[in-house]
Amino acid sequence: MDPWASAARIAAAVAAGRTTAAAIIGDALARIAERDKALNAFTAVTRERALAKARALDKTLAQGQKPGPLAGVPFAVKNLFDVRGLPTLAGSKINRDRPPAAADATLIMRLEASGAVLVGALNMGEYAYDFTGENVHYGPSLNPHDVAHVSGGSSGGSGGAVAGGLVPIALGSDTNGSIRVPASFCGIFGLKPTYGRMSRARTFPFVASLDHVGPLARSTRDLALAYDAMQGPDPDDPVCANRAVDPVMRLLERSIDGVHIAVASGYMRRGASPEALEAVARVAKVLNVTREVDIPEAARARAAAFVITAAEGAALHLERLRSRARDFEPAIRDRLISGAMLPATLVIKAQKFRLVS
Amino acid sequence: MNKLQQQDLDRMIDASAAVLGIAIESEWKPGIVANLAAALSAATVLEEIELPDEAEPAPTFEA
Repeated sequence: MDPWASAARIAAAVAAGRTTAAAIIGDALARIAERDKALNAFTAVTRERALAKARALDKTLAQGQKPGPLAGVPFAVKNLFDVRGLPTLAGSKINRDRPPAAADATLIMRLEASGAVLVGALNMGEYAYDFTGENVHYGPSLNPHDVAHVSGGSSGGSGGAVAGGLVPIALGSDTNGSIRVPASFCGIFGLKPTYGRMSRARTFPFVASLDHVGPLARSTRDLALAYDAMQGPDPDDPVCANRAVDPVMRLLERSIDGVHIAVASGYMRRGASPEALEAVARVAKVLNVTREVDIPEAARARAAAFVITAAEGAALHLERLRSRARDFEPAIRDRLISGAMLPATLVIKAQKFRLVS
Repeated sequence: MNKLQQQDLDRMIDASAAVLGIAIESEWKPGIVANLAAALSAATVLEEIELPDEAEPAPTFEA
């Protein structure tokens, strides 16, 4: 099948018996082996597990079981998601010493329950405190449009693997842009769901107050497919909202009439390059959007996120900063150490500002 | 906070490192100074606003 086939197309072909999950996964593994040398998106390929899962899926389909909405779709995850049998690296050297994960992250379980097949773990900026997708321990994840450019981060491998045609869907995490930045740099789509909407169970954290997990894909339809497969409460994540599954796939069939769309102005336009502004103008024209909104207090919100991120990240890593500071990536170590030194009064004010604003 | 001098930051970092038990190597210092200055500078725009005494922190948002 076409390496650029969408998840929706793959699942339809597998469901209709036009191909098998084993053939799809075999092709995906071959593509990864060939193309990832240039992209450096993967840090682990779960070949045997993926082939076994694909064969098992084909067997149940042959027995007449109803195919899931993601039947035979290969996917990969940022390496801060627990993958059974692998240490959860979170982009670090230090975490290589962790014991292998005993169970998959909830979102991996849910995608696989829908028929998707995990093919590996993806490169990322160390401990997700990164914006470029570069990594001194594992090498940079590169941009498939031009490998002389970075992928954006911190979910760099997730952006590269999807935009490079290695997998149609990848999972990433986003604390201050780590899904949105690589999706943007790599020319694909990323979804940072509302806080608490996706389970973070068995993922390596960064900033508890601001961490989100979500999918990246080459189409909004594939994002919706993945999102619907992953929704729902999870007793393993105390932050995950106790909200029934609210499928969004059917909303894609509607027109955009009645959908509120506006161009963000003010703070959001300051510092934007002419190319970026031109791209926004083009999209606005296609969607016939003329309304602008100035999101209140955006500059202070960014400042609050900056302070909260530095302080919570530092608190998470304090013991490692004491005992293994040299094993951190230097730029990230410096950010974390400075975060440990911020007065608590500032952090609390930042958290209060979030509610008042 | 934006009137902090380099020497103030240096003293703050040295004292904090001792309290926190983090051994800082001299070549790390410029990066730590730059990051701490950036965070304290970001915090100044938060300090400008007055919050009521009753303001509650928002550690999480409800989905």
